[in-house]
Amino acid sequence: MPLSPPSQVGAKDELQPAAALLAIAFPGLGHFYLGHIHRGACICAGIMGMFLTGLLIGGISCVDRRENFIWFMGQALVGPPTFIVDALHQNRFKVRDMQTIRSARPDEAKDPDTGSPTPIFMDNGVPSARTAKGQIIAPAYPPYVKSLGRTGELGTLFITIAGFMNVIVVVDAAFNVRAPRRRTQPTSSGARTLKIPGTESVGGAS
Amino acid sequence: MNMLLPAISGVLAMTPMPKPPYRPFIDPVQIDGYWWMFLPLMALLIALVYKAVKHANLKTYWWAVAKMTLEIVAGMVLLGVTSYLVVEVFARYIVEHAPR
Repeated sequence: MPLSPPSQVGAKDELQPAAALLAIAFPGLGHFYLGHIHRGACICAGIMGMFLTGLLIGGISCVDRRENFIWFMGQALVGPPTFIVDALHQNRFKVRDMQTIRSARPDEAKDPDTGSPTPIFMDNGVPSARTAKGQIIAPAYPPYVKSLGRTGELGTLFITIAGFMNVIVVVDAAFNVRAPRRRTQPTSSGARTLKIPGTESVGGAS
Repeated sequence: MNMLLPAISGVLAMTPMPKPPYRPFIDPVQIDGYWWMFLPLMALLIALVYKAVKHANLKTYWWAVAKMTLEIVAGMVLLGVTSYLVVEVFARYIVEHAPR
């Protein structure tokens, strides 16, 4: 009987809560904890690569729990990086208009004192804005440019796919179905036996 | 005066605002014309993660990643060609040859 695929032989399909929590905390951390350094590095590079590429393409407006909640639910599966970016977006880049928090329009700057929108006007060719205290900010620009069209779609898609891929990673780390260090040893009968540290031999001759 | 205000605000709205300097990860990149060039990168990153989880033998890991990337890209191209044929050829043929 040939050896079963390594992912099935001697499988430890017990729940690994620490690995699961670490995998949720940051992509790839659960596999690092389990001793799969190379896999963890590839997972981290892949998921964070998708996340950062999405941010680079679509800008910070791609992660928005208030204006884009459906997509945010998928993006939240990446874990804390998404929540950190969203918190930055909501608190540092959006403006407070009356009782609402919204994106600034292209002709609005953010008042650094109150966080409210203030119109941008041209002063000798320089875009300027007046704060609530009467100070002039020059040059004044919108806090960020909102991504639209294909750019916004692609950026949002990259980050959401990163979230869904992270679900696979968390499940894999939580149910560690891959024995990390295994080796085969020939027996006296010539058959190969699979040895897994901490367990008795499994597999063998047919 | 009340009649003038909307006109003034309209003129102000038409005044082109200078673009802010590009801030990476905050402002979007203008890729409207060549957005599709990022799809192979997306396929590569998906394959990188998926094979890291599912591939048993890490010695052939990068080969498996390259293979899966090519499969995803080929699948997308095939879907694009199929969609083009259905919309531009098949649907057009039906419309042109349908009995009136």
